[in-house]
Amino acid sequence: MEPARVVVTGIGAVSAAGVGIEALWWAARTGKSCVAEANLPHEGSNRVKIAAQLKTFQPEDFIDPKVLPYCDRFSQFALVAADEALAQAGLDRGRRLGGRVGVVIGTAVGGITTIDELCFVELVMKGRTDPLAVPRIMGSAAASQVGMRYGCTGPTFGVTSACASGAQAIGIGAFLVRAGVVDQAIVGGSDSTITALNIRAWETLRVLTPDRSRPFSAGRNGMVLGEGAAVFLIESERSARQRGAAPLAEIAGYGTSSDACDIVRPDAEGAATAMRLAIEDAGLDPDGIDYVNAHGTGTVANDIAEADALGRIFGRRLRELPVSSTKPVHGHTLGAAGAVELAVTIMAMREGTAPPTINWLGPDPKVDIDPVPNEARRVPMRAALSNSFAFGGINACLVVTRAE
Amino acid sequence: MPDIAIERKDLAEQILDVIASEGKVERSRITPEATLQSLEVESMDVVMILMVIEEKFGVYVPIDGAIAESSNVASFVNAVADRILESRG
Repeated sequence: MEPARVVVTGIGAVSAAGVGIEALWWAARTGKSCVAEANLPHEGSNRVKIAAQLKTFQPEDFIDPKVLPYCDRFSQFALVAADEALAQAGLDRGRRLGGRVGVVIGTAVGGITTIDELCFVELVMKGRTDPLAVPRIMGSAAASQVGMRYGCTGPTFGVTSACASGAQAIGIGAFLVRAGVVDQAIVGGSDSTITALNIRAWETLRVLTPDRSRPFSAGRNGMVLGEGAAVFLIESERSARQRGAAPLAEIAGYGTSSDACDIVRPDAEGAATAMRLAIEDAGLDPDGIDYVNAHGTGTVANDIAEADALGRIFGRRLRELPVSSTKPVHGHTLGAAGAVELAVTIMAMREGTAPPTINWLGPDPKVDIDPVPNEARRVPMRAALSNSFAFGGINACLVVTRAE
Repeated sequence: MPDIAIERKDLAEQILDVIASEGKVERSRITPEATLQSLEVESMDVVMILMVIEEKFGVYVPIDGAIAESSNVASFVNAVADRILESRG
């Protein structure tokens, strides 16, 4: 039997831009940065004060009071994004979806907000330990909560591979559909890590910018943390056709590799391998890719390695290929990044618009790409690539194509 | 020697001490021309060096172009000293 083709029939997102895919896409396309001074639950020793944080979110507007105590902020985001995706796909909570539906949600750090609170209450305040801490913290909590909400009894798990988590969750979910293990899957990524402790931990690695994140630009000095989730309802093309659901895009290719080299320093060959595998898996050659949504963190090391890797795949065509990073808009959402940025990539493809890399000051000779500087550009797209490269050396890339 | 030059020289000595202690390198091996690579100072050692710089001098030094591109001990020390002096205004 031919492997199933995998289509997206629903997209949902929560980001610093607000609740909803439209808010995220509007911010990315117009280059409206959501980075500002962060509100932190507890004061810490962090010197970096900025993040892309969602400040208006009221979880009780979306989640039942009986369920909410079990949900860390990363699970809350996943539930809200899943609701949007499933509503768009024409599925509701009225009936349990059953054993032919899986749930795969990536997260880099899971319930770190709960851990932070637990430490503060337990170690500082000598207060009462939250008995719900364990089900809130576990990395699979978001996947389980989404599965419970929709009655999905198929394969359900979290995926964790630092900043590649979201992309890997979508890729593995797509493989489950392709292999016929499930007909539909709820896939994506979620992370919320804006605490003083976490900002401090990241800044001790010297990769956070104290001012502005400017990927691929001269004068760049680091990334900015973000939070959010993106969730997709994916299904076999046949499942979508049978129930009359309109495909928004096809998940055509997935490629993943590991540098197996350095825990923090990226390796261009590992990144290039993941891109190559994803493009091959989509049955395309590099000339078939019309836009790349880069990992583009804005750190000196990532952007040089990524440009090098892109050069190994696209060769001389790279200078004409639009490659942008939307991270200065929505922040680096870590385990959600692959999902949030795939959502942006699909919207870009559907609208024929490459979103800009904002805060760009001028070219870095070591990064010889076209970063779509500062302003969006009309780019007709049949296929687009989304990159995710993680600490630990794990690389994951997804190729989406227009739904026919 | 003008004050600023004395201040910079003194700073450089202190930065070299940090490279020695955090990079686990004998102080005598750290010459201006030596590369961090030749001293086996790895990426995580640089992170630890910058951590101690922050504690000693109260300045957050992200890894930007000047730090990442410094080819030897002299240029690394200069880049760090620049950041410390900048923070002093």
